[in-house]
Amino acid sequence: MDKHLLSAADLTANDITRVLDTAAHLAKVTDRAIKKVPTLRGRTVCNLFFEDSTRTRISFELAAKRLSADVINFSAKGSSVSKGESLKDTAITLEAMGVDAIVIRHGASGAPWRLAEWVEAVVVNAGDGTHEHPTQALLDLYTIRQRFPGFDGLKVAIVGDVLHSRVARSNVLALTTMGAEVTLVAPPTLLPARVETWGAAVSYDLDAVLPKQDVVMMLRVQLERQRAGFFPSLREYARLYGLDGRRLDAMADHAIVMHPGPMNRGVEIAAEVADSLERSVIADQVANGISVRMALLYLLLGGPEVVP
Amino acid sequence: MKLLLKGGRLVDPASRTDTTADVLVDDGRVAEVGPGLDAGGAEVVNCDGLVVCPGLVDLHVHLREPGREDAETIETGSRAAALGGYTAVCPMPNTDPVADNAGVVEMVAARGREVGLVDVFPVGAVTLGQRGSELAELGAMARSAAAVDCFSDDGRPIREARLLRFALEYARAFDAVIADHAEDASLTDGAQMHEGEVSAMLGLAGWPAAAEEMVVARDLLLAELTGGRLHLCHVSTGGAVELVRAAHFRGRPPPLHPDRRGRQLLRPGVQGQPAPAGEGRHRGGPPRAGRRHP
Repeated sequence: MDKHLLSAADLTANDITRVLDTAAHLAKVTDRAIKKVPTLRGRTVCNLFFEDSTRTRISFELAAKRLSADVINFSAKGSSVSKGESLKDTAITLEAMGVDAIVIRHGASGAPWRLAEWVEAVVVNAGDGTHEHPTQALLDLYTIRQRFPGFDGLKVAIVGDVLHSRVARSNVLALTTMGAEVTLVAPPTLLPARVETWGAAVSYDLDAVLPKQDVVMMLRVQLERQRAGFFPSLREYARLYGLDGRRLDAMADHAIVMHPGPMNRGVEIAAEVADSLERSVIADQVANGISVRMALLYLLLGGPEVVP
Repeated sequence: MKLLLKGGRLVDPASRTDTTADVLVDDGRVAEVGPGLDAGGAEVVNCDGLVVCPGLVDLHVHLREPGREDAETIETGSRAAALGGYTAVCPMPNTDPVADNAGVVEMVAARGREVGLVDVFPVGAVTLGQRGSELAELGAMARSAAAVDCFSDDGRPIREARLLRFALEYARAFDAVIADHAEDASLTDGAQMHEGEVSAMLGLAGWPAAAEEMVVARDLLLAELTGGRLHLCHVSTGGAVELVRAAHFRGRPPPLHPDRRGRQLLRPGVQGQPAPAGEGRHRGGPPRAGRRHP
């Protein structure tokens, strides 16, 4: 693996398998009464969040703490950033304080790459603009692997606002690397330019795609997209691209439903689907996020090859 | 005072000249052109291996004076132009105050003459404050000491077709040119690079070629309607060139200048090979399109 985790495109199939295997070992820590190992004792991880994201930040924080690292949470609100400090000055300040890893969430696509140029610390992309969210893709793959023997030929539909979704970009990259067959389903206004070059199939018709899938990954649709005119109304969006009970019944018996959260219940996913005990693995995704992020911090911060 | 430019490659597109010849300059004027001219008492400049050509004219510069003298002045811009082989520059009106009246254009022209390195021909604003709502006093600027013969709202496209129509018509009275920045802002809101495969993968907001081409098409139709003189600023897409070519065949070829930044700004990231994300150091508007269109 590279020094940093910036893009899912930088991960080979071997890298991904190694992260998932390591995560499976580290998941056992979470099952113990005392959920902590001393692996990263004395290392410092900074969560540098320029966008609000409670779940991702808490997930990274718990992951680092379970490995005994010291954790600093830096959020843009109420910090020097709100006083006009630049990303570069923030980076230099953190570097001077001697952090070992920086987990960054930023509204600008590409920000983690700039950060990695400025600091010696390991940089982990926790979501940049509408570009990538590689740790989300890894935790999604981990969750899929809990239910399926492998990725080769696995049929995965990613449904919703692909255009603005960093989750979709990272998942397409990681899933195709692992040999899965990805289908992107969205209204044409929410598909990126030249999406046919992504190595995924494309469809505008959710009902035609659903019965063939092993995994259906729903994307959050932001309410402001409707106001910007990408689709006429939330009701129409839900009718054409929302996963409701009727569509759930059309899926194969073994197929699972995923969602990166936070969900808009009643828009892209109906409450009965989100809460379906047999089909929904959404709660598993959240739990697995911690194990996968533990594995990443462990591998990137140069832990020994042997898992504790 | 006489000057003999000896042995240079003489290039002059207007007279379809591209040959090796000497040029004799007498008191600031070309007196004689031909091979093996006699130096007489002239100072001889050896131009072996050099190009000798008419002075270049830059139709689109920003001298920033008045208002942003910290960035550029008429003097520093004139120096840069002269060093690059330009003998005339046309500074855009986006100064502070905007060059939308005779006072500002006269000041710019006068300061250009005072510096005396190149001809400075100020471009006047088409609309008051470049706001795109009402015509500036084109006549006053045309008849001023600056004798403005080109008007433009610079980076701000003239959104309202009716206003551009009136500008093209009105400027005919002074035989002046209206230069438009072809961009439909509703298609480029927040755009960071040319829209295509690379922008989509990088998650960057795209600037589609159509944003330029639809305005080029509109402007060409209005030029034909009004018989006015239209100039298209920094044309950057193949489709826009095709539209201009089609207009040419319809009998009214408008002049345009291609985007001069040209190939030096073609980074791997915009040629179809993804550059590392965050590589944002070489940007401009309009953005560089891919080699193949679209």
